[in-house]
Amino acid sequence: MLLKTKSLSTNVKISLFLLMIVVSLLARYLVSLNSYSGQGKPPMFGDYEAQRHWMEITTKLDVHEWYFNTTDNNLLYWGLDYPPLTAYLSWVYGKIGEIVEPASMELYTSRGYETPTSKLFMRATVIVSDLIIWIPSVWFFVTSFYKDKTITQKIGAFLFISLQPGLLLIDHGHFQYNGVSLGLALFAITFIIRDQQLLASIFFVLSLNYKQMSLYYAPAFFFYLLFSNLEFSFSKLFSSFFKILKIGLVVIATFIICWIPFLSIEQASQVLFRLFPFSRGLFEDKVANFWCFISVFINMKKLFSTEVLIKLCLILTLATMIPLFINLFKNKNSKFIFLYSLINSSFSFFLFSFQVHEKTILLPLLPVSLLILHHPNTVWWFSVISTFSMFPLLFKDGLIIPYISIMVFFIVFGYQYKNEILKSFNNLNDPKTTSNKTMASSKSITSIISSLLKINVEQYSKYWYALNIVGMIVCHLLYQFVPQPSGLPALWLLLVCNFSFIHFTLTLLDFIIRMFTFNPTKVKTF
Amino acid sequence: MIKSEGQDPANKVCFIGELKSILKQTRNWNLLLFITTIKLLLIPSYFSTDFEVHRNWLAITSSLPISKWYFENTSEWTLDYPPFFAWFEFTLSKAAYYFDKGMLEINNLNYSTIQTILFQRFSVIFSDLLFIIATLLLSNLIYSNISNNNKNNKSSSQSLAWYQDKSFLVSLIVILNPGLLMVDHIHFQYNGFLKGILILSMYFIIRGNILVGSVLFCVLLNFKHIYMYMAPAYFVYLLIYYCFENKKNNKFSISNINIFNFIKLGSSVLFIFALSLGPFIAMGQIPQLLSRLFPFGRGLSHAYWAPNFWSLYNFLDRILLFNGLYKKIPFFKDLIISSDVSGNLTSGLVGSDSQTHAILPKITPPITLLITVLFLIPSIYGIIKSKNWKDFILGICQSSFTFFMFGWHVHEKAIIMITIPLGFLSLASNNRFSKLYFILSTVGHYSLFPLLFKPTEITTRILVLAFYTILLYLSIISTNQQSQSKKQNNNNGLGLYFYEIVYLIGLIGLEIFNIFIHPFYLAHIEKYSFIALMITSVYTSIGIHYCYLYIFKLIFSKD
Repeated sequence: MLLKTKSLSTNVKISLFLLMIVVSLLARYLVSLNSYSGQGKPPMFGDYEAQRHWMEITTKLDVHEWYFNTTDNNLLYWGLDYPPLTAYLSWVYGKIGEIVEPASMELYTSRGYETPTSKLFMRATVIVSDLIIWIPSVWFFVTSFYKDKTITQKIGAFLFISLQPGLLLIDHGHFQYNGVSLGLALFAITFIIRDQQLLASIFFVLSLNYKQMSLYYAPAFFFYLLFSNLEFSFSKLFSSFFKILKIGLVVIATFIICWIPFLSIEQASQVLFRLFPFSRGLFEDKVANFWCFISVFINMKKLFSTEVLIKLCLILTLATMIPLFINLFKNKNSKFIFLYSLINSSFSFFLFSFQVHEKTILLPLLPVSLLILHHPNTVWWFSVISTFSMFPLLFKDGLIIPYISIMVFFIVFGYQYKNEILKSFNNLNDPKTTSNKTMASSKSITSIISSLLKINVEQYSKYWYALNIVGMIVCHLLYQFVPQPSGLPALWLLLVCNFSFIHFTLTLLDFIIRMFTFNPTKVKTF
Repeated sequence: MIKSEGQDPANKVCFIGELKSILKQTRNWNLLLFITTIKLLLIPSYFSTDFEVHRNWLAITSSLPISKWYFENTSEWTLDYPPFFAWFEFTLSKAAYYFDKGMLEINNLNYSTIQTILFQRFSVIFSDLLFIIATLLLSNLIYSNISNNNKNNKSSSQSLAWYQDKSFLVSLIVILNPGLLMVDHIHFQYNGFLKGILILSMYFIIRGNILVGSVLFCVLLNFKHIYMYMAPAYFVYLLIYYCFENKKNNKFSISNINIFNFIKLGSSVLFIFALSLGPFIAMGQIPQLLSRLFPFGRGLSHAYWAPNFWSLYNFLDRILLFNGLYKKIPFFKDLIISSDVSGNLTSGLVGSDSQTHAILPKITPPITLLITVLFLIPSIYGIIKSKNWKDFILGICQSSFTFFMFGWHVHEKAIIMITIPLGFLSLASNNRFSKLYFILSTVGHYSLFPLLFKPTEITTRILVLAFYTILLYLSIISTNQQSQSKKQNNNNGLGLYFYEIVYLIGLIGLEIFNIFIHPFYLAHIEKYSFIALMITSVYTSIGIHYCYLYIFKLIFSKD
């Protein structure tokens, strides 16, 4: 195919496309050569063992036993706590695993099963999932949202979004299938952008049913769909009501299909109980969110009971989502506002909600990274910081070398890439070429500060990045080599969390400001 | 030392200046970062027994006096590289001490703690810096000259985008060489920095510092003696253009002998060899050292036949033997075959070093030497023809290619001794060599696949080669458009003929057979247990013969 095509330019296009696929595969595969969470660490191992155990449980046990604590299914040993689609996918991979290496899927005896071939198989399942869902979803998004860009710009955006270092290291290093839930969510996002709302609802429900974390996006989806269909004039009230009803029915139908084996009250309540365990703590370990930040000053767990804390979480989470509510109402059908509100809602959950895990930063990362060709500075920097915030986890998994090499790679290449994008903006401002090009017009946090201080802050950004990178290096060194002071056990971890928290909050603020200052008339894309 | 050698008036910029100019370019740093990231991620890959070989050498050189280096035999992996390499290991062992002292114990056989693995892998990655710098220097030298001559504009190459800058693309093509990644960073060896010394020596010779270049080549020979494959090309070049130099018309004649140069060259070569071998001459250990360096007890072909002439020869022998085919051919009709070799298609050749041919005449080391010398003559002709850097590099390639094709006990890894120097020609002379390099790189590096046979590395090898091949294709295409040689732009931009495309695509089929069909359906039948290796060797050997003949065509045709 590559060599037969007549025209030279199509030849180049095809080989560029092939190169893009091979690079995607190569990057994933190279990371996957390294160790995974809990490798060689009995008795509980880690996320890798959890996923393998689910394959074992789903293939060997009856579907009604999956979520219950039975003699053959000890829920205390990595019991299934993800929604049904995860279980189904585990079943599919488990069935293949039974053919490839039966011993790795045996009930009981396979616990902590670690052979080079079974590792290869497990790694391959993640890469295959990416190939089937995540990679197509990113390409679909890029060709829809950035359809007026050139092929090289599209490929650049594709690689930037699909090979986010955080996602790469968590999925292919630490071991998880985030690409599936994020990919399904991205399909939903893209269908919203293409104004195909029913398909969007189906894919969003699928994403929710793969991993309940996708709930972080739900407010944005819900209000976007609601406001874009709601018409208050009397003549259209009925038709808009009908549209919303249609979406509601599609959502319910998709849910029912996903939950077919679990439709009895007993089953459904047990699954829900497994999915939302409120009994754990306020935050798992130390996470770069508000509660970890505030714990430096106030010990919330001693001051309030768990119930009060849950309510507090809920109130703060909802309160910080007010911007998205207002803006989605003001700008119906604006795709930019939709993407901003995805960022807003996922950040609100991450920063203020109950029971957050540090890997959850991948959820805000997805909508942020989608905007790379519009806000390169913020997006690139947030990608760096979000990966940084997970480094204690990655160090624990023995992924120090891949983490460092990929971070350095990403910081250097990402920096040059974002400068290239900025350069193309300057070309856009050139009146000769502005005619048909588009870019989001909104004010960033730096432009606000600049106008307040009456100096151009932008020119100092280089020093800001350099300063923070030095800070990050210091954090790594402290964490890895310097013993904690005796009175303060997780001091370095707290430092890392709060360092990240400050940057996360700035990023959120930046996007909220952009949302309010967004000027829809200047965007011509849609 | 360098400035005094600058005989060529065109070399106004000194060596340090060139080094500075390559370090100034961001894209070169990007390339370094890119390849280093790949190498670092490859660290957990499988490594071969060569890992233990080098660990053992670390232990020998660090814990024994020099007099015992070439006698020590606790491990089966005795020291069989020349002294400079031993000194290199000795230097490394000083740093190894701080990683894990255990790896420096001679009796710690197969010692491979995480620290040991990290140390050895890091040492390869680190020593590769020399290779990268040398490559950047050489490609900058030869390709910026081209653009300067063409356009008379020195800044032109600076302003080019990276995908149009030939000097950068060539360093990309050489530095990303998949063979080197597979052999050094997965299989485990130290070819990178040795190639660095080679390239540096080529660099100095091409820019006119012939004495520095030849000293570096001597140093290289004393690191690893396999570089003797290139010695004939060097020897002839130095003889003609240094010792018998005629500055007026560049023509070779005995009467032009430059005694002063001759003495300079001879004494510096002797000095390097004295430095390396002196201590062993003094201790009277030369016979022992030579017996380690040249173990002729090994067979004609390695366990996996390197895809050279002998691969086809062995194959023909096996085919004739198969089902008694030889009885139908009049010449061999009366041959008596001992029962232990008959009947099996592959045994006796694969997995054993002391194989003999059943039907075709037996090959001995002198025969291989004779054939090699015979075929070396054309490559030397190429050098004599002109004092052109392209002919010099081509001569080096053809010299090592000839040894690869006809040498005694050639290892398949030696293919990178051809592809790396040839990589520098890949975009030269309006892409005249591009097609050759494209085919040779694809086939030659594919022939390394049996080195990486573990399940995890099977995917790595395919992805690495696929990545490189597509990148190479794109580099050639993008420079094609630039030089607008419309002749080459037929169909696919490379000028590949239909049968060449079919042959290259056949590699995909071969790989599918090797991964999915052979292990599941044929490997357990004794008769066919090695057939995948044999087919790989023979199939790639055909392509490599094609490339070998293609170089002859290039040597004898006009630029």
